[in-house]
Amino acid sequence: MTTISNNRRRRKISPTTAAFLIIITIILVLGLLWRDAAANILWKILSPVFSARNSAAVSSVGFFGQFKDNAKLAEENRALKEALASTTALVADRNFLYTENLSLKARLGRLVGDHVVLSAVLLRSPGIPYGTLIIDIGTKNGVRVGDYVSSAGSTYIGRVTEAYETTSRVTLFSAPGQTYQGLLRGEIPLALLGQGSGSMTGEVPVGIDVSVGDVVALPSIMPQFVAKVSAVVHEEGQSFQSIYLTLPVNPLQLRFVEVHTR
Amino acid sequence: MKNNDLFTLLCAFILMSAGFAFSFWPLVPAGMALLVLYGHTALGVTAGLLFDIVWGAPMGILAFLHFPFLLFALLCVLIRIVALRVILPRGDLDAL
Repeated sequence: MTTISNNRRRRKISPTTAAFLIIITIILVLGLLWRDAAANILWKILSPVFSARNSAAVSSVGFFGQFKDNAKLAEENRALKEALASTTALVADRNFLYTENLSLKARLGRLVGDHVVLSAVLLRSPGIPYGTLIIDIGTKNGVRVGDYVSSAGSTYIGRVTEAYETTSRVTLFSAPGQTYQGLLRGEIPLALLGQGSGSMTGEVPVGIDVSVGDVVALPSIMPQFVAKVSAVVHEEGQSFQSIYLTLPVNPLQLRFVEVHTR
Repeated sequence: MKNNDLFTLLCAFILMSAGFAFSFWPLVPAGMALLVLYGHTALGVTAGLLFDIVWGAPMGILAFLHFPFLLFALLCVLIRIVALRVILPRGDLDAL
């Protein structure tokens, strides 16, 4: 009778598996070391492709829009005109106050105003995971990591977290795990925690009156709105109330953003 | 290349490019899983790495993963190995 020793019985890793494991380890190490450089090259190639895709999408919407029901379009047109009439006065009022705000600050020796660069959004959720945006300007256009990004004017939505040559990655304030300090109604300090999909959460003591629609701004000399309260939850016996917030704009519908370069 | 292989490659390519072009990322891991589970390991792993580079690292509680799609492809490799060696009877190996 022949017996097989324990050493022989033990299965050894085949050369193919070993080679595979070595290659994967090398790929991971190289990926960690040169991820940004590789992303820079890839986005240089992909950026024109996505610009073309977005242009084609806009054209196709215009083309297929012709086949919509005329009565429905007329109704939509009427509703939009009404909405526009009611907001035009508000916008004019807001612009007047904003200019006055800036001139008052200038008189007190604070000359404020960033250099703003308009950018098209190449990729947004759900085309990209993690609550980030890819925009079509990069270091060539003066974008740097840390620059604030707004949807328009003083409505801020996130920050540039990676700047490549021709594109940049913007992390929304609402991205999962992101924490920011904000001021509720411009005066009550509040820590905001991103939850993804344009929503955030925070806690304030029970005694503070918070209502739906209150705005949260970044602590700055300039008004930088980042969120709007959408719900307030207070459980009996708790000393804090939870507030749920949303970004002022829907990140799924963003087509253009402004980058405030320093 | 067998017809089956061609069909798998075509399906995976359509899924991944649709996920990328039509802005719906869950189609991408579906395409990767299809590639890896049908034996195109190198292609699947490469696709995972490329998508990780393009989309960047995750945030929040998954931030420690760094390369989530590459790791997902490797998980699929592991599932395939386990399926071939343990779960499926030996007779079915040829079928795969």
